[in-house]
Amino acid sequence: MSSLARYRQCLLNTYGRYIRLERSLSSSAVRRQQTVAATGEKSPDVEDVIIPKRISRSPTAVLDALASTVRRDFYSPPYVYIDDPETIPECLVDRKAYVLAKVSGQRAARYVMKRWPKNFDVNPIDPALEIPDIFKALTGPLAAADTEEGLRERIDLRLVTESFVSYQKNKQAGNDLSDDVVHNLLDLLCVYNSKDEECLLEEERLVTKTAASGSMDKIRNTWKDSGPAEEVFQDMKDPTLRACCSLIKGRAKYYQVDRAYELFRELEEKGMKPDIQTYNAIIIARSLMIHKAENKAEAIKELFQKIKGQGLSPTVETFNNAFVTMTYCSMADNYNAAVFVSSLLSEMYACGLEPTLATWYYIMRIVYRDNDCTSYALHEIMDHLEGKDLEAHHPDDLEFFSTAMVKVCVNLKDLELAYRIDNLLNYRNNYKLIGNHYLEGLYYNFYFKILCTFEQIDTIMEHYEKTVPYWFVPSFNSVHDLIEALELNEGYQYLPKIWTDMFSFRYNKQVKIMTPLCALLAKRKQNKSLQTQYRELVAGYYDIVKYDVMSLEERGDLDKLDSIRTVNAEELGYMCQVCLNSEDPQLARELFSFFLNYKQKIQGQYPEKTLESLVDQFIKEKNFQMCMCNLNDPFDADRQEALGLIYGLGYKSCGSYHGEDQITDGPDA
Amino acid sequence: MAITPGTLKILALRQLVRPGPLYSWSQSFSTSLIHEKNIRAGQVKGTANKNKPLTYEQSQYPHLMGVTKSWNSWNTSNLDGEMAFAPHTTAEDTFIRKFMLGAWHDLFLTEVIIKRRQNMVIVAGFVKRVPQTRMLYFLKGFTEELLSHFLKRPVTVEIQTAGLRDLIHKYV
Repeated sequence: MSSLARYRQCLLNTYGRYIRLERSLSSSAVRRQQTVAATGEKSPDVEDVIIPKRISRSPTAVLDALASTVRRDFYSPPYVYIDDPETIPECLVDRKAYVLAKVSGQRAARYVMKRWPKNFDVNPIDPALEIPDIFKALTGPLAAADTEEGLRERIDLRLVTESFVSYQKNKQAGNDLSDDVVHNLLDLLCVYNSKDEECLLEEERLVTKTAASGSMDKIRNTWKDSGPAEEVFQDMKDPTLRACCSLIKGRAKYYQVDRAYELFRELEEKGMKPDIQTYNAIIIARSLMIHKAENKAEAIKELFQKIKGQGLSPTVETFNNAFVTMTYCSMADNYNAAVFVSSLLSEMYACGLEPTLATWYYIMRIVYRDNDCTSYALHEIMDHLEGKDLEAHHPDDLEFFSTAMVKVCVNLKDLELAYRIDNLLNYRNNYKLIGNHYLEGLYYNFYFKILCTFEQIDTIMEHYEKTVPYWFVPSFNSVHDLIEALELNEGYQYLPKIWTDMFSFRYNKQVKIMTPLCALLAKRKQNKSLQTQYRELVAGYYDIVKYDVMSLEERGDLDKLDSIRTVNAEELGYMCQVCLNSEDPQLARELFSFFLNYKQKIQGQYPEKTLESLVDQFIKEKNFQMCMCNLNDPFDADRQEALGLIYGLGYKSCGSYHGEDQITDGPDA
Repeated sequence: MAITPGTLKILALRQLVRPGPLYSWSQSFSTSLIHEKNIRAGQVKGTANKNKPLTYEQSQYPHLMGVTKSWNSWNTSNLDGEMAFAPHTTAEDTFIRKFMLGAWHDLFLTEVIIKRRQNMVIVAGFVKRVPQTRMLYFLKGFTEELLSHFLKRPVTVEIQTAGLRDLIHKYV
């Protein structure tokens, strides 16, 4: 009893009288209504109270309602990361590394638990409460292996090899095992192909690239032909229908298609009636035995007839598997799969089944097989899906959004459709279906690709600021697209933001990104405030470059310059140009002499435009020493010639003001 | 007769001295200040040079608990009727603290805060900023998994990072 309840009872025992008195004072309104009810009269101003009918809700209805109010927050990191500025990953590598670090911690803990299980036997919570199964699985003590109970426990815990060992021990001991246990064992062996598979932890799935079931590289016969599953099956004196079905499903799952179909034929000849899941497995197996697309379609139709003949009703998986088989057809078949697909789809609706996201994914793969195909299928799919709460039923459902975005970008090049897909993704909780980090990256990379191609720079940056960096870190190609879009739309005001982002994504050592970015900074002279910002960016970057190169030089490892810091002459030139644009000749001169010092180690060509501006600047300053340095460099002959002209002009114009002795002071003059 | 808190108290006290079942209700309420006889317990001794750094939590004296600082363990075991689990909770908290001391060696800058909500245990605190952030993630995964299976209930580690000197409140 809680303290409050006791307190109340204590009061009631002794002073109930007073409390009753208080109560009677406040209940006057209630009493009046009671008298009305007692006399049976009804006052005209009192309306009938209609008590609404009770709605039966699930025990988690309140939680569901609360969860539905949660929206995707673009401005905070995903929950998997520790919410602290230090620990939120900013670059692609960290995004993966942090999750994997966490997972490896979990694995280490599991190792400890496996190694010293006794320490985890304690049950500190109320002994009356049962320990949740999830905590039992790792540590619970098991019954002896050579008993039926021991086998049953091992099967329940999905310990595949241990179950089989226990089965063999039981056999040696001469125990009679019940049919149910043996069937369960066979199921287990078939599902896992008789081996313990280290399954991925929940968070590991986030960063691990997994192949969709439609992809060809997954198809390999890995079934153990004389493995434990087959052995258990052979031991059965009279294999039942359930055992046969398990084995067929197992063989088909691991692509031992011939033997799966063989057993299926045997069943048919005996006149047995396999369940619908077996038919689902056979659809895949049968189609892999046939090479020609037309024959595949025929075989599928035949199987559907058989399902109908058995009085079974096909499930969504039946149709999905049929779609998967059509994705296996090679291009060379020249078979118009779309016709067959549409007939399958209408059949699906006729059966009263709703296509899932995986269905649409397979259809996209079939229809947009060719990169030139510009079918309107995706428009129709979007018409169908728009404004719906989507749910995941199958791992392939998660492939939908990324594939749709790729197809929009590669095949259709339709910005409007890309927006529609993005709206669908951000509708309520649909974003949960975007899949793991790999698929998310694929989706956003292509989304940005199409945005950068067709959209104004302001809109691009709006989307960029929304998703970067918490939900998406642009890949190399995306950054290239973005820089191109910036150049095309003259989005110079966004350059400082992009520049700092490149540093946090750790792209600052990538010449392929930094050079075009520097070129963009140097492209033209901006207004004063922007140009000052540019100058600061360049000065900061120069400090980093200088520090890296100097520390290398101190260690005498200057030859490793390329591997550690990939700085490029072009990049230095553009930086110099930025300084000239900002009217900071001091820094420009420093940058140029830095280049001159290390020019043997630095690759690339110094941009001519910068050289010209430098010459102009030096002439303006009457600094002929630097001017000569500029010219005496072992540049290309053509460029020397061109520069010589400029120099000549400059010399002519300035020579009269300056004594010729200054020219002879030059180091190489 | 109107019931005011004053009369309630007198009446209830009268109830206590009566023969009959006694309720341990006096534990639930206390209206007077604690009698501070030993004022030196839990107070950090100063140094001559005044160069011993203290965090905010350490610098507040124990009698200010609930006034200017709060508790390190948040649970319901001090409520009436919850006594059955109080020793378990205390022992577990000690275990968790010792575990954190060893697993997160030399990382925690403050005391480990242990909060309990329903069957959930939240272990919180400030840790040092380390060059390898991956280490923090590894330890988080390790601690959560191991403690969850040890205590048989979900455990979450909620950490914040801070610089070495960020949490120093004063020197004594």
